[in-house]
Amino acid sequence: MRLRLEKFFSDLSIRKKLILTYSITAVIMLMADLFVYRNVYQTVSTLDDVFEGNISLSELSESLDTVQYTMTGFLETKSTDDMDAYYKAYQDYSDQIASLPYEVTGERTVRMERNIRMMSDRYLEVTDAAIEAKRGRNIDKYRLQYENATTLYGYLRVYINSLNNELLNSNSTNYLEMTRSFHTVVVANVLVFVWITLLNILLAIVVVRRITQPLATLAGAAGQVADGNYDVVIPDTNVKDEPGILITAFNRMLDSIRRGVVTEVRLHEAQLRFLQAQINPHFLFNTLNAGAQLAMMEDADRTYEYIQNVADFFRYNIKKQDAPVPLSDEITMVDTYIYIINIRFSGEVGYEKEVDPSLLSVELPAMTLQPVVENAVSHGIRDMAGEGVIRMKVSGEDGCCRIDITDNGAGITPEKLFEIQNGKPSVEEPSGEHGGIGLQNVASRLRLLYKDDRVFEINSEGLGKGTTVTIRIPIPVEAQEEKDAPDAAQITSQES
Amino acid sequence: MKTVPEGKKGRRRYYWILPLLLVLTTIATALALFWSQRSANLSGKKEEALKTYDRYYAFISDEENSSFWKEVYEGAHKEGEDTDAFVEDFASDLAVGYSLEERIRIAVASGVDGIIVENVNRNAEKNEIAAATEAGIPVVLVGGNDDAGTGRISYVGISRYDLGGLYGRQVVILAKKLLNDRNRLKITVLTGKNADAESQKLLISTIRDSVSADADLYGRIDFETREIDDFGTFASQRSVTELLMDPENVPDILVALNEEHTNSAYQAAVDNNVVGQCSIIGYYDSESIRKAIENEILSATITVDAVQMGKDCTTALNEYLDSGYVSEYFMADTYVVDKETVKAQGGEE
Repeated sequence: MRLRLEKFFSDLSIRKKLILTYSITAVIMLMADLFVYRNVYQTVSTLDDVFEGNISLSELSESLDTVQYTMTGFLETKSTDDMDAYYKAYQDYSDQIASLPYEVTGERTVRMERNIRMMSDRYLEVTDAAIEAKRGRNIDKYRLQYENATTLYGYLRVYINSLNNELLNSNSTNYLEMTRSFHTVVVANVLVFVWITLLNILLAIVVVRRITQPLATLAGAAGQVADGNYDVVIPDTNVKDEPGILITAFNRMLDSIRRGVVTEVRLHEAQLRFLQAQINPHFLFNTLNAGAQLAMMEDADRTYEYIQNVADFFRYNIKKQDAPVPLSDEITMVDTYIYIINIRFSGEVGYEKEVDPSLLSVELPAMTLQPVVENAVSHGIRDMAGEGVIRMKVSGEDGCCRIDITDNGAGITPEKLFEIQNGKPSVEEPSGEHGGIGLQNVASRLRLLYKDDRVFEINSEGLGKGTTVTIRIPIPVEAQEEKDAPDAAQITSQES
Repeated sequence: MKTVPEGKKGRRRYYWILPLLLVLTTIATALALFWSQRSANLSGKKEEALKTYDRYYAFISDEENSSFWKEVYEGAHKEGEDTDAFVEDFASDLAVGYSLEERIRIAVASGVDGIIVENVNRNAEKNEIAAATEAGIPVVLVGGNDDAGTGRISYVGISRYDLGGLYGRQVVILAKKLLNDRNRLKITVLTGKNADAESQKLLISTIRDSVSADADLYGRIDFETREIDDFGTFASQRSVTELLMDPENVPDILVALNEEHTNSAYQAAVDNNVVGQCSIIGYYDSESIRKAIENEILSATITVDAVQMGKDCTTALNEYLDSGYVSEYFMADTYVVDKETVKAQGGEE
């Protein structure tokens, strides 16, 4: 239960936490106020009650005097005013004695009140009888009743005075006791306030600590990161408040930074390797040029041609890969590659191409087609039993330049094809034999550049059924208009 | 990779102060609240006494300050407590001191359920008792003599004849003892001016008869009565002192018929150094009287069971209100307390 409450509180936002804390504090203070008010009210009420009895008895005594006085007045004068005054006094006195008890109890003052009530009832009967006798002009009777009433009046006066004294004595004792009690209540109230204040301070400290501690931890970690220490880890709190979210985000950000740093280092290393790789083709290119000149001087034309093609190949290869080149250059590069491969493998690779000449000027990234053809040679037809043929078709399609490179080689299993189509590199991604660029690299570059997945597609009907790579290069509008102007003829060639 | 510590723990070393203060304040607050609640409860203790009673009886005596009448009242009150009736020493301590008759009148006006009143045998008292009876309030007479003409429902008292006989036997025993050394004895019986004359007469004649009836004492006893002034403070002590200061008239046996005379007699005997010369037979049983018997200042005392008398009064009223009938008389037991009795009872205690 406690853990659930703690979890509930921890997951609240800082705003809700603060509102809840202030509300709880306010409610506690309100309760303390009410408690203290209740104590004070009770004490004051009790103090009031102490002398209330004395006040009531004084009023009762005055009313009794009025009854006796008005009765005597009427008996003396028999005036209507005196009679009215008597009945009013009678009513007042009756109302006052109505609150006195009839019960007999062990408490002396209560018994005295009871006796006052009983005697008062009797007294009022006698005064009434005296009034009636006076109105009936029965002198003896009203004299007798007057004497009886006066006797009872005397007893009542003495009883009321005695009770008043009794209550005063008792109340004085009670008053002293209550005064002492009141002092205790005051001390208790002060202590309650001190207690509540301390409780609130403790609550505030706990809540503020809970809120600020993760922030302080976060600030410390951020400081270390600013100093270049990326190895910092803040334990995940699993708390859903703002600091908790910040810590989680901070940890993820740190993780990203760490991964970024690693990537950067590796990229740097790759760049170094790439520069090294650039040096080698230059050296090789110069060397091959020298070889070509030597072959020409020795009239070895085929050797010259071969070396010259190889030199052209490497010259093209060292161009910046992301620089756009005309499609014609790319096709020439494929031709050169096929030539080299056929010299190397004794003309085993058949090569067919069908090119729309109007599309030769379409620009595309360098080193796009050659890696595709190289992949077809390496994985498609190199190890096949029959004659391997590579077909390249360049055609226009819906504002694009469509290039299909098809081989009749080994083909791809549906599973592998699925993986390739979904961007997963094959287990052993081949890089060009020349240390060049793999098929996946070509696909990634094209998709990144044209922001369209359809720019590079690879399809195969299965093992032994060859593979087709389709590249769609979008043609800019001005190039499109230019293309549509002349009636271009198809270029078709076949090499072996 | 290192983990960042949560906050700076070094600052926590002072954090224990606040919880400690909180605990101390909690204890102090709890104690203060407990005490304030306790004080409030003490102030409210009045509530506990508010037991109500079915019946309310007025106990009225002319001598409520005497030990005897206090015991009678306590007996009546105790019996009332046991039978759901509150017996009050009625109108005895008001701002004005009322006479017995006025107190009866106040009791009637207060509508009590019954009245227990000492019979002082005054006409005014009889009138008030009659008025109470007329108002339907039963009255029980206690002490003195019975007076059936008042309309009382019952009488609780002492048989004067029995009491006189008890006195007589003690006087005879003491006289025979004293006559071993003397030829004649003088016996003086103290009488009160304020006391019920008939009761006194009956008592004295019974004592006299007892003495006369004894052959060994015949012709050797001078029997006299001495009236003591009961009015005013220390009046009876002065009268007894005057009697004992006269060497010619110092009695051999002095008989006191009430508590006040008994106290006055033994005080005067001590003051006038006649202890041993004058043997005193007193009345009533109190701590001071027992002490006097132990010190041989008093020879013996005749007493009645005052508590039982009080109980009988309440019982009589209860019976009458329950059934409409009650016994006409309740007679209290009388007995002698002498040195042997005091020793025996002291030993038991």
